[in-house]
Amino acid sequence: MLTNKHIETTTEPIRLANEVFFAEIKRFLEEGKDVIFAVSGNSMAPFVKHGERVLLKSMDSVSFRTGRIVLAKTDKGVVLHRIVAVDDAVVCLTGDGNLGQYEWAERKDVWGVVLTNVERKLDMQAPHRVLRAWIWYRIRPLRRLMAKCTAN
Amino acid sequence: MRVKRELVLRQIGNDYIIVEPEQDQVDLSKVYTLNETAAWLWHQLQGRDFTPEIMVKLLREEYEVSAELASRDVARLVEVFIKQGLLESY
Repeated sequence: MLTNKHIETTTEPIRLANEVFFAEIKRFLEEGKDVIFAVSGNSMAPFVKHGERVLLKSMDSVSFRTGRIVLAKTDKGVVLHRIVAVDDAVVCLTGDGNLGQYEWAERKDVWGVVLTNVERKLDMQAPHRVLRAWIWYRIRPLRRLMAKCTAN
Repeated sequence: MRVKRELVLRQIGNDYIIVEPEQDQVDLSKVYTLNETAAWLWHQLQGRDFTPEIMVKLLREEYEVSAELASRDVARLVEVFIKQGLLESY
């Protein structure tokens, strides 16, 4: 029996270990539900910034396409990043905000695809937005240079 | 009072969260976390009408806790339930 145990409730944004939180998202997606969750970190900035909520749905065959933002278990952990290359077996992902890092995931480990940035009411699959993200990705050398200049 | 029927309590790791799944969507940016005691109490309150007095009684049957402390905790919990819209009638 427990003694002196207070009841605690909180409505703070949850601070669960990422691993269990992502497992929970995966479980709901598998149940066929769309999931809204708040993104943590700026690796997808400027398209999805820290704290912004995104709406995710489970993967289908048409979602395996470059330019889509997906939640996947990769060689570097679970990430919400953009597909930059795809073949029959694996996808290659990268964060819009990152300057050089890539992650790899098997197709079966890609759990869901982002439909909207709920915060800014943006359709993340709209062709013009995907095109902008692609340009943003292609000018990485320039962004690297700028990052260097700002650092100095 | 009564807790909303559609709310789901889930244990993730050592935490308990309450989520409100809609027809085909669940918002995980809007979840409520409970500790073990509160989660236990939440279970007991499923599908029945209750009052703060009943909650205190339930707590004291399960845990060794003074009436004063139990009442205080229950009052706080009920306040959170109401504020967050977790009850369907009160």
